[in-house]
Amino acid sequence: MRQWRWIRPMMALTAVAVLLVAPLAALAGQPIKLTLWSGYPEMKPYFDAAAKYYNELHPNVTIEVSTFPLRDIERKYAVSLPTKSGPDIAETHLYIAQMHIENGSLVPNPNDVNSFLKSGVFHPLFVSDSTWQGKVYGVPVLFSLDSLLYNTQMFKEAGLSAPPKNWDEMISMGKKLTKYDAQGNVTRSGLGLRLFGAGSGVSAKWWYFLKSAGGELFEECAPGTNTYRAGYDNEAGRDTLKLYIDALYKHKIHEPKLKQDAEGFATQQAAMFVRESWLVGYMKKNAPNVQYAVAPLPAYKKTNTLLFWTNLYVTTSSKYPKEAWDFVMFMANGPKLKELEQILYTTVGWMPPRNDVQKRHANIYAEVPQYKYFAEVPSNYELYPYPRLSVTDEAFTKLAERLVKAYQDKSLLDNPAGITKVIHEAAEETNAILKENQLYCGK
Amino acid sequence: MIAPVSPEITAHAGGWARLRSQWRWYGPQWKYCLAVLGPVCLAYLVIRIIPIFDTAWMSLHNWSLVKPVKPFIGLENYVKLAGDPLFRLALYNTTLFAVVTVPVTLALAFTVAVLLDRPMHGRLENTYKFLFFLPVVPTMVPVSVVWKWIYDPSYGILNYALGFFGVPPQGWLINSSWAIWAIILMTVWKSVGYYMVLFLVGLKDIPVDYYEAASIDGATAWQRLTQITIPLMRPMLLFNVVIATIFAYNVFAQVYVMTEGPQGSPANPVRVIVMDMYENGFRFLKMGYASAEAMVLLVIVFVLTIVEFRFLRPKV
Repeated sequence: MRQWRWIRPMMALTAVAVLLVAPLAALAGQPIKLTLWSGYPEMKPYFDAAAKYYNELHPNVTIEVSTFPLRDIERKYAVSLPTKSGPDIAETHLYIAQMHIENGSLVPNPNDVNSFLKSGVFHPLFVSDSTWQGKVYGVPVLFSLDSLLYNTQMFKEAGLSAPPKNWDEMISMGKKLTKYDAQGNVTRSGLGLRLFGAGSGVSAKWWYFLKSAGGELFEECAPGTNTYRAGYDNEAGRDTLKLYIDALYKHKIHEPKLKQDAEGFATQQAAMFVRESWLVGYMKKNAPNVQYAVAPLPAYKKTNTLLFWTNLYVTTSSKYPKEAWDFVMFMANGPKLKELEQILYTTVGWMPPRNDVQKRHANIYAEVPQYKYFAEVPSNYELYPYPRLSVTDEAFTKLAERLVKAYQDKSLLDNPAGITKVIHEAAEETNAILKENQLYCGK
Repeated sequence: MIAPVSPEITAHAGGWARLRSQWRWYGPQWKYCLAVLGPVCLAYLVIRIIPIFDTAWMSLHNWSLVKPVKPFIGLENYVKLAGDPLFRLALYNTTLFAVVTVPVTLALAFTVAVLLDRPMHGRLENTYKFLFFLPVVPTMVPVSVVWKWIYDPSYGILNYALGFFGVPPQGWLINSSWAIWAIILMTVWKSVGYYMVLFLVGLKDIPVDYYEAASIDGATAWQRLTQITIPLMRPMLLFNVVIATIFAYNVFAQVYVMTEGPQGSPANPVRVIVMDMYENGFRFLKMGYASAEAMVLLVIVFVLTIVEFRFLRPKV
């Protein structure tokens, strides 16, 4: 009879356990749908694969991946994140994310994510530049250095054995690589430059050269003041505009009527141009027969290049932030890391952002030599990030229109006063944008 | 004892009674009108009228799309607009676009309609109508993409065709002076068929007797056109001018497509008001400022419509 005395307490304990565990068990099994938006359509195979792998481990979690052109997603984030109707996970660049961070639409990283980020698996700039007011936001998902792509076949034909190391070589080689018709019109650009199109693209490409010349889009007035002024109303700005004007009208190594940017390089209308590693995927798809190689950005007064990357952010729109972070970490440090990185290499073209990627893909540079200079920075190169101020896009877009107009103005050739005027007026506009947003510190 | 009723009250009561009896008489018609027009008016109120007031309200604020605080700033956005060189450029380009596209499109459409409004052999008339109307069928975006290719300096068919006449390849969209004209040409090509159909409808309504009588009186073709056709087409002309002006001031899709991407046109030479509005609102997220632009555009179109009504209204 004695054993029966335990029955009541045991039953009570079981009932309590059932009451406590049952909801958790139900929650663990309930279907969860996460949404992920990306502004890089070429990344879709990567995210789809990650979603599939994650779903295999967590059958109750499905991830819906949507990709949009970069300009479209900026607007989608702008209208959806403040109203909490955005995705659970947003992939974007810091200059777009910054305004949403400032307005509380993106969630700061949990401690365990930060510990991982700071464990040394990423370049320190990834972490330091993703920090705002002491909190880190986002986990890197792709990166690339900006580098010079050059057509090796054209180099061979022109008797050139190595890519240019500085602006002088870039121009002299550009001259050798340019082809002209009987009337002297350029039929193949020695150096492809971005001269047209609305938006910020024109000035973003100009800015790479500006950085080499020692200039900035915004320069901080004093460290930590969070006030700025245009950083190109100086010799660097003037030199950079002169580089373009001379290339067009003095050296005649580029022709506006030819295809520009990636399309120009893929159609072999340009022998050299500057871009990021996604070009590898683009060329594989659109111009598999073009022989090309990649080299570090030609230096001028500074030897530097852009470190471009995007982060994955969990948004305050998410009803399942815990699961969203788990998925983000699954991509960054999960059991399928190698397979996902392989998709970046073979299909997408963007570089996996972890430092230790070589351990898992030892032969990648042998297989795709072009990747080397998109991923590995020469020791003498200084890296810089994209400007992160929330007014970057407006400043770049308005500067671009002034540059486009200047590129069409032949009178700027050998006209230092004209170039100074263009640069000064553009800088005044940039300063006005800063002033309007209470970010200007004065001259 | 019942108090006597004053004559005013009696008259008032009689008025109500009359009204009630009239309401009863018109009841079914009123109810029908309400049932049919009510939902439409309600939808119009929600979709059109309220957003206009909302936009006007937003234009008085520093309304950022992403910032939670949207301070009231009165007319500051309008003051800024007055000094904004990009807005002035957009206003100039839009007006140039409207001033050229509206008369050119309508003149061409009217000419084609008059030429087609006469007996032709077999199915020739319908074939011509079909050919002229064909560009209207696809929406503006795919048409703009096609024309972007037509204008392409390297592979465009326009440069290829001009090459036969010894004209060297031109950068139709990338040249700042030509870009707006390239977009105007495309828009005229796309719109002629639409207005042609409307003019044809108007032409069919003119009784043939008038032309027969005029012919008997010895009127020439030109006299018949200027003395009969054009005066009787004034209502349709007014409608077309108003619609074409509104469309012209709202031009956007073709400009957006043709400036998009590295091979696109630079934005400023073709900057139009709606594009400037879009850029300020959805790119720079300054929705208050963009709303002020929208209100200015509304006023411009409204005033132009009144002026057009004033000058083109049929004189009875």
